[in-house]
Amino acid sequence: MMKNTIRIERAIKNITQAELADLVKVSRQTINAIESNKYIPSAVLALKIAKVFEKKVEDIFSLEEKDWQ
Amino acid sequence: METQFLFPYRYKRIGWFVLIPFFALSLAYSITGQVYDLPFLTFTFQEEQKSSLYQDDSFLFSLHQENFTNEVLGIGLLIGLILTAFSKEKIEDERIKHLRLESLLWAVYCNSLLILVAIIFIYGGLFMTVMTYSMFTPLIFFILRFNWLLWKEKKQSIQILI
Repeated sequence: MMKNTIRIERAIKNITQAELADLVKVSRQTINAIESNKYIPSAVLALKIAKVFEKKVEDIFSLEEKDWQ
Repeated sequence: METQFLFPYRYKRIGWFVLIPFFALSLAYSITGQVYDLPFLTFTFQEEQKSSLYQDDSFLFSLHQENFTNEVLGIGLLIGLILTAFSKEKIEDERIKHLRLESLLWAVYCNSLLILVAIIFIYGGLFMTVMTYSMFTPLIFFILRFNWLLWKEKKQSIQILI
């Protein structure tokens, strides 16, 4: 399933899951689910997260082989 | 993304307040039969004679009594279930909506399975009872499943924090 570097980006920016959740207006459980690859965010949410980290979506989210099957 | 058909978050609490007493009363009512018919909910109607079959009745109009306890319980239970099931969460984000939809699907499957079993194994009057229950069970299954999922997640994320 699509993987992401949110945990690393958070560490760089030094914000918690809860703070990131507040910034993109979702619940903390959602951020946690995305980080642990249990949930794939919508395009809108992915763009919002990228915006918070001031990066491109592709720098944070990337496709895996399994996504093509 | 706004969901059109959900009630605001504050209705969830109202839903539980309505649901719990009505659920308990309905359960008691269905177990004990009509022992708990509330007397003040009995109304008397004047009913016109329907057919000549009843002509041994010497009155032109016959009196008909109807108790509305079960109607009141049914309406209360349904309102409580709807409000509890379909009020927004505090943060109703896209994943919560996803969980909601999955739970609803699960609840419908569960209910269909029960009805299937009932069709095969239960006949006559008892089948009607099962059908009566199945007016409410999809929503009950949904509420149980959805809230269980939310609770499980909450517990998990607290453990992560610790």
